[in-house]
Amino acid sequence: MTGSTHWVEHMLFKGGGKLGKGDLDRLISRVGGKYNGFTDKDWTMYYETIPAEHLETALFVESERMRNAAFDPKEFDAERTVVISEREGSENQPEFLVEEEMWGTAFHVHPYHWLPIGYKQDLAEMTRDEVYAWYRRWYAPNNAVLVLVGGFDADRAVALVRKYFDPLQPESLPSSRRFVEPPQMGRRDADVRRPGEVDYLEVGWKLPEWAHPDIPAIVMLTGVLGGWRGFGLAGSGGRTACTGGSSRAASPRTSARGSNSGSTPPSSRCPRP
Amino acid sequence: MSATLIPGVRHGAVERKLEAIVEKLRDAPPTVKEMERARELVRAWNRYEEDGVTAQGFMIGQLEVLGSREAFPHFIDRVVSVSPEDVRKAAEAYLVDRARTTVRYLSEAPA
Repeated sequence: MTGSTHWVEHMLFKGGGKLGKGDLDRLISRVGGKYNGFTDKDWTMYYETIPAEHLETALFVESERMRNAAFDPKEFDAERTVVISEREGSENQPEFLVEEEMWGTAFHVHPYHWLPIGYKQDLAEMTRDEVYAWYRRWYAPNNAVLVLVGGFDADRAVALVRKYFDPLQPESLPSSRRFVEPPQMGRRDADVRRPGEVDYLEVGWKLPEWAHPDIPAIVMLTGVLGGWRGFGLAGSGGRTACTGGSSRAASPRTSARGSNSGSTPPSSRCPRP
Repeated sequence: MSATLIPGVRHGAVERKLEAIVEKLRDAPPTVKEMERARELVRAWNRYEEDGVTAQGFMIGQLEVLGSREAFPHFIDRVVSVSPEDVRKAAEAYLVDRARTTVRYLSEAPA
């Protein structure tokens, strides 16, 4: 089911275990902290930025919702409307529609084919138990990376991490299936037609994975295209062609002469207090 | 690459211009001035990624998932030391038609 991870993200702000609904605001916002989460193609991420003396609070929150989110059925059903509305709001933006078409056209086999927000028909049909099973399977300490940055005492921080995360049981993760996109055999083109007044264009090329030795040169190539060369697009046939243009390179996790594209995968970011 | 078109300009004109830019990059390395400009852009992008503990945490976490967090402190040095010929070779290797996907958004008058 596409969109599962993004939906989980919504549910992890609704309490469970020792966290009641609204506790995030009470625990974090009221001490001057901020929190949010977002879901991208290769990861889903949750964070708190909080005064250093409240580090323990952030570790408590993250350890609790890593395994104990409630997934209350009523909350889940209410969130269906929110998630579908989020998708429908994005559909009003040409950039979203083009991005979805870009990934769907460039990748036929690899899961990069779809965006984190998911397809509307999956969002309409997904059940609470399916999404909860997804959460329980993947949201475990042996499938997570914990990052601490800031002005805290390192020894105390490690002790707190052990206090909150050691009790969490690891999950038996399914063997990681490696999706390999077959080599592209030729140029691919797609058109998106919608009512509106502005035309838009995206061109992407598949790139190698992040650790590939060519990546530094590709980043500089992106810089050259985003500099004066790219500005050359603003003069086409003696007149201005574009109001704005950009170049980006993203190099996701899996290898990619079978799996990558020259445009950044859009995260599903949800504004929160 | 993405572009928002001025009303009245057709996609084909922009695509032809883009193809000419890419073709030129495949044939000849960027100039010294272009390389310096690109280095400044890359350093600026990098500075934004390092701005504050929240951005640093995002970056470290993402790189750990990508599998090479340890490489990050030196990554920017590797990028800015790339030669113009390296850039040309990258364009020649990767900006090729058989790996290209083009998506056009064509606005239409409401029905």
